[in-house]
Amino acid sequence: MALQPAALAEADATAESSGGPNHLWLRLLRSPLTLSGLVIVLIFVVLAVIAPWVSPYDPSAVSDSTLVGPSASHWLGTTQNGQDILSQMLYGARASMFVGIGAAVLTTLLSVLVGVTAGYIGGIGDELLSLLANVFLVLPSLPLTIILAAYLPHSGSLGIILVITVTGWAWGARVLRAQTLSLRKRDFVEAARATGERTWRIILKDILPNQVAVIAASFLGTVTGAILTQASLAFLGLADVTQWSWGTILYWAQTGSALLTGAWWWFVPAGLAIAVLGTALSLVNFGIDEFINPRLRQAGIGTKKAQRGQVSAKRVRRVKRRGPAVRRPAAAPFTQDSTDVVLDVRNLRVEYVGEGGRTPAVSDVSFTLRRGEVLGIAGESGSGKSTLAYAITRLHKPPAEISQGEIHYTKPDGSTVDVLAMDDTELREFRWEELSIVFQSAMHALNPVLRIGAQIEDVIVAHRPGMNAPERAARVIELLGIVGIPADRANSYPHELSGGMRQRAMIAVGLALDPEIIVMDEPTTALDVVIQRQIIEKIMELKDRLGFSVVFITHDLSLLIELSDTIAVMYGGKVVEMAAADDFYRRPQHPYSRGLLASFPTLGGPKRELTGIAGSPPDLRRLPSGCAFRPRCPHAFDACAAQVPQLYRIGAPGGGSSLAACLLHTDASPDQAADPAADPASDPKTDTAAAAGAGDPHSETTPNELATGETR
Amino acid sequence: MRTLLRKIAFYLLTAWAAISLNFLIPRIMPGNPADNLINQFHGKLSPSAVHALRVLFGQSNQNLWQQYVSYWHSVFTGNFGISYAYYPSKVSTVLGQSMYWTLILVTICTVLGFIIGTVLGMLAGWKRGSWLDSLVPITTFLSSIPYFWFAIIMVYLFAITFKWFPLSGGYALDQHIGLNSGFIGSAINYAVLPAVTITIASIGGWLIGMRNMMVTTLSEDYVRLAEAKGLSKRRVMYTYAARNAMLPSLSGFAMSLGFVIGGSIVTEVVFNYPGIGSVLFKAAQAADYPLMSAIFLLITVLVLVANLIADIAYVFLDPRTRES
Amino acid sequence: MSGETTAQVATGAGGAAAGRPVLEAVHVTKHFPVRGGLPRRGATRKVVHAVEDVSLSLYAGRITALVGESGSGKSTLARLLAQLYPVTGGEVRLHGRSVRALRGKAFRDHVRQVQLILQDPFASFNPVATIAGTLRRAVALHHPGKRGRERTAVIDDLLTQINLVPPRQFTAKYPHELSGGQLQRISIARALAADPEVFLADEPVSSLDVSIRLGILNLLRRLTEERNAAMLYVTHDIASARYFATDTAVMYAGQVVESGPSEAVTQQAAHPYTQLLIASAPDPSRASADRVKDIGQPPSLIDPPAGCRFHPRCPYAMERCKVDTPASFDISPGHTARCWLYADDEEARARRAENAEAVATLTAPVSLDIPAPPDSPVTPDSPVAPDTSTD
Repeated sequence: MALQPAALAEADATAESSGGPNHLWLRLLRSPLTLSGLVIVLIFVVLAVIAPWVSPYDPSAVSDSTLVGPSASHWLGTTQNGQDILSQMLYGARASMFVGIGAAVLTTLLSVLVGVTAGYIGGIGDELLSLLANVFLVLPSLPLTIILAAYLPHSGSLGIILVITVTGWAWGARVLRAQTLSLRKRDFVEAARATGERTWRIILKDILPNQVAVIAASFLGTVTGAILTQASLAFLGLADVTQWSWGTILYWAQTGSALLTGAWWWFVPAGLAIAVLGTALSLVNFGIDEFINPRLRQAGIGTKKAQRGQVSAKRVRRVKRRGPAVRRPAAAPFTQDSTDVVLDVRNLRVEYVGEGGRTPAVSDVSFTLRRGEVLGIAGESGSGKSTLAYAITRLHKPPAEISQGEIHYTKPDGSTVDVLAMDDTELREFRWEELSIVFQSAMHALNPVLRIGAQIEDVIVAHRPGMNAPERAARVIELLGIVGIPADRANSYPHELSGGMRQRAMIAVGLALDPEIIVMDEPTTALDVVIQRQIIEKIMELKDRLGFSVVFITHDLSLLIELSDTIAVMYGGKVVEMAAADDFYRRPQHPYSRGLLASFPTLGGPKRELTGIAGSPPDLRRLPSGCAFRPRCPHAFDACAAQVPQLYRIGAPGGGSSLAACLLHTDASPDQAADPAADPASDPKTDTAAAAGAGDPHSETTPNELATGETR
Repeated sequence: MRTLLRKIAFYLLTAWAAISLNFLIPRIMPGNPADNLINQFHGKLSPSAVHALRVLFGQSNQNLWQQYVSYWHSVFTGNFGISYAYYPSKVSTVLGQSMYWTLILVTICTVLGFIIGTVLGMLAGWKRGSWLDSLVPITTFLSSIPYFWFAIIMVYLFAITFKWFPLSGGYALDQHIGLNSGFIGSAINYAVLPAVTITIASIGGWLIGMRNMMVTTLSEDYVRLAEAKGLSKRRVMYTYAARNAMLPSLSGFAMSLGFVIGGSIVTEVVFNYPGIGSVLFKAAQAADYPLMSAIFLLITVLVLVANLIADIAYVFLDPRTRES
Repeated sequence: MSGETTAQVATGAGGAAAGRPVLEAVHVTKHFPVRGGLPRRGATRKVVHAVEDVSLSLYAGRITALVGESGSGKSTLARLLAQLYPVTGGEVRLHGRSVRALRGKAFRDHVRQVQLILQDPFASFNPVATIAGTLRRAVALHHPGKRGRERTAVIDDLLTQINLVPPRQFTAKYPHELSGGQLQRISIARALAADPEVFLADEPVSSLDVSIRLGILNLLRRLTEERNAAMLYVTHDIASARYFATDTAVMYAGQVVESGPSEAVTQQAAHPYTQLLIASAPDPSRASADRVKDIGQPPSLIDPPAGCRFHPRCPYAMERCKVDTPASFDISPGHTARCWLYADDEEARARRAENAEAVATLTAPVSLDIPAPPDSPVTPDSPVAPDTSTD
């Protein structure tokens, strides 16, 4: 089995730039705020270190020039006793930062020790340790610190460090315990255990390195906290007031009534220094936060940018007139000849705009969805299928952007609207009145703090302002009944329902306004097969009853073949094959489709040979030239590297036809053409056999495979 | 309900731990603070006061367990002995006079700070990427400022330079304490500066926490779905995003509250406000251990009660905690 | 009540696979305490009955599939065999000797012979360590004598065995730089480092793309054959068990309900749950479009139903199913089911006939030779299974 030598990423979103984790931290420095924070901290550290050599005066030396404002000889002025404030500040930086860093080191050590131990050992030891941490967390730390400090009168920095450690370790311990708990459940820790690794090595090699960011954040937070606490204690006279620190300067300023004499230079610098250092440390911490939680970098949804940045192509408004609301025709079984198009997607291109340029996740995708049709979109990870789902509902978020193409929706009254040209109001009406969405994970897509009924009712409140409460309640019950949820479950919260029930509730939300189209993005992937079957049956039953169209997106091709009318297979952001489901199953045309179908083990009939596909799905950022499937394709020839294949129409004897983007079918006419012809060689067995043994690709795509006279 | 009962049990346990800690600290601290204190008064202390002090430090002929029992007895009867900083007032009297000042001031400031900070944080998260982002460095700076220093600046600007507000104290000395309009008006006038100081300084923490949670929550599927459903912006922002985003803020209430109270204590000193903070400062200066430990207990109990309230609110807001 | 399922599988299936099992679970039970606060006074602490009285044997050179839905206890059983959890009851035997090796040297000795491969390749690597770093640790553990160069040679050899060539192209990489298929191969390499006699593969392909699953399964099969190792293949996909495993055991709610040669279990499924599982699996190769009407869901394992745990959902349930735990019945040599339908009495016979009729066409293939009529998406000429559920 051949493998692609290059690293192939499989993520659907491709905007992230990569590099080894050891270089990732460099990304921290890219944020100007983080960088300036880091620079300020460094300046303070340097000043504290070199203070004895650069201080112009002895900070305690008394002189005659008392209470002088900033001047050339005393940059920051002098105190009541004529002491130089700049020198006091420099020496103060030493003491304050010594306490800050010292306390942070001890506190972090204690936090790591307690947190990691509690999280890793679990059981009763964990319960006791975390109880202890919680108790310390709730105890008001400053009063406790004051009392402890008062019992250690005039204690030096070491005493204060100890006091701060005793009162401050609990927060870090709690955070680290939670982290350790979640890391311990991660597969790589279990894998390390299963290989027989020793516990201490697991903690050292697997747990701790993954907590570096959190430990650093807790460390920096404690530095700020300790400096503040030390300043408070010194200001209250509870520290050794003869040792210069920023807090002691403020203490003497307060006792020397600097305030009343207007000697602002006496009390401003010390407080400012604490605030600036604290801010700088917090800025570094934000950088770490964003590093840990990349979601913090995204734009909020309330901004104009997020709302507007989705469609880059400028477009002209078309049909505006809104006809009278027409009930859609009664549900009729869908046939392949149906011409009643509800959604028409043309040459859609969606790109992720990142630092490294634009990555197309969906390129040149066209399809039509007809009334009552189930269009199945199949694809592996990275094929762009989910991006497509979000783009046709215009729910995609930056950095994804529609850069090309058209989406037209035809209302039941026959008028057509341009989905990409809709403004917010129109979009709001389009989404859910005309088109609704069922997300993959109902657990995540339902608001955990709202009752199921309320989440369905929300839609009705927003779109049917005329309905009163009892009517809405009745509709909610009706909807729940439709999807098979007992009415009393309307008052349940999502976490009280089973996975299958939650997915049914999601479907009820989708049905609330009787939409024309429901887009389902892997609605059953998280469910077990038996529950999946229940849900699918329900969807199909509802579709027949209510007559909506479905765009069903999944990676599970066998499921798709069972439930779809038409199947589109995506690979590398493109549709590589589109055909009626039955034709597709019997006569897959694209080598990728054939490979996929030959990858599924079957339950019916005798076992057949499974061949699978060599290699891995491509990385959208580094698509191969020409046909994206070329490196994995058993039939690839020279032209495949040079030419991006377009969709060719291939006829079938029964009158159906497939579209396949493969140069093996160049003899067939491109999609737009309409050449009537017969296709005697479309028996799947001969087809597969021919394809499998193909040396010269042209030999098997002889005039046999010509298009039939089908136009769409 | 079980969740709440467990919470109450936890706070009772914490209260027990705090009270016992308060019993232990004087007994395990080095040196002999009792003698120092007695010497400071140069024999002016009554014999019973000397005895009480020795009891506090465990210098009595009772064994540790008996001491512990009688300590609990005094905790429940509110008999914390005699204050040395305010000699010869009883500790309970001193606390009774100062407690309400702090209670009212800190409660109002905490609630205000929480509400303003959370609302601003919600907006800043909702509009992440807009001008509201500039709130973050500003509030970071504000929350890095030592409370007491901020108080000094406020006093310098608004009491000394502009003379808009009184310099220090809790009320004009010509007013009689009581529920009369003159006194209340004066008390409000005196409370404005401290309240503004504490509120502004405490907003930052809430704001940043809420903003980060808000941004995280906004990328949840349920918010995306709510948007897709065509709900009004307000509904999405409040019921779907903010409602979920504020849960961690509430559960982190304990830590933040301790911080706010600590800050208020020091702030009171600057304003010479007649609350617990100033009393604690004076007690610490005079090494008035009975007063200090009583204040510590009082603050602990208040913080525990506040946490319990936050927990009840949490249970009310998050249905997932309501069972088992 | 009988736990002899295993013995029958052993002698039955294939016959050739003789000898004693390498690793076996004998009446193994696992209860997890329900977390949440301190135990309440009086009441006994609640437990999750994750695995209940399960016996299973793994033989050298053979792949045994363990099929079940999430929560059926299949992954727990694999971890019990790997000794990652202690058993609550019963025992795990390696080469016929009972093992209880949860820590220390005994555990490492066990692990040297029994290796676990996890489901999600992206999650099973430490994100901050390179592939070489991860493999080096496994090699250091299991080849303690080797140092420096020798270790690198072992790593190269491991990567070559799993077809990642040239090895140097992968060793310097971090997990996020590799694809799921490559990572899953590397987890197999990590397991190979111990040169084990038993592989426990917990859904090794479930989180991979369809097109690369086959490659991984073939690799696992080759390793099993080449090394004459035993393999437990845990999966939720009963169709893959048919293709990949010699024997199949089906678990429901913590119990093995049916086991036997894979072909027999999938083509002549005896237990109504296995039938439901097969009927539910999406598979266009089967004609039966009409499916089981099942609205139930697996029971709570904290308080599982008495008798047969499937009886609340079973359309053929009889009175005794609600009371007595079903015994193990032989369906054919080596193929057993724990279901009262196969008891030798009047009622069971009647029900059995009913069931047999209902599932007769469960795995009848769709005919591929006749092209479908132009306007019919479903093949109407293929037999349609009658509704297998009565209510």
